[in-house]
Amino acid sequence: QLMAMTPEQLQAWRWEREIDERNRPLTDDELDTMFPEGYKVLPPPSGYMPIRTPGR
Amino acid sequence: MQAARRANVRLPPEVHRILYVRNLPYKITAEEMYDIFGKYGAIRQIRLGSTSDTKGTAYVVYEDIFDAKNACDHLSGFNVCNRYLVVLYYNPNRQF
Repeated sequence: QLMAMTPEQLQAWRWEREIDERNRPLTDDELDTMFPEGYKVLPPPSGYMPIRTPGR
Repeated sequence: MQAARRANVRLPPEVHRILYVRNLPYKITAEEMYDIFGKYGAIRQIRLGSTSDTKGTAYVVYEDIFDAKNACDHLSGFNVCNRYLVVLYYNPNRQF
């Protein structure tokens, strides 16, 4: 299947994979390891409605 | 934005889902933070500096990397309470 792709398709496929990796869901544990000391989590205010963008 | 996604526009390598924000007013509330940054997409988490050397800075984590890029593009130099926000991408090698 890879062989059947044109170079442009292959490039697009690589980028898609790269973005998927950078955009995968993060767990709280992962987040905790990413930040330096001296920051506290700001809880969302009551009534915060996240804007959901359509899934890719 | 949708068109950009479909066309598989490559994101520059420095683009990250976490934004590092500086020059925030000390007394900013959670409502204001979520109001300013929530406009650009769903927020995973916000961490606000709570010690003397981290006050006025925050990390904002977006659910989607495209939302984070959009927010970074639009909020750099954004004026809040007569201060201009400095918005940078998170960089794991540069722990402030």
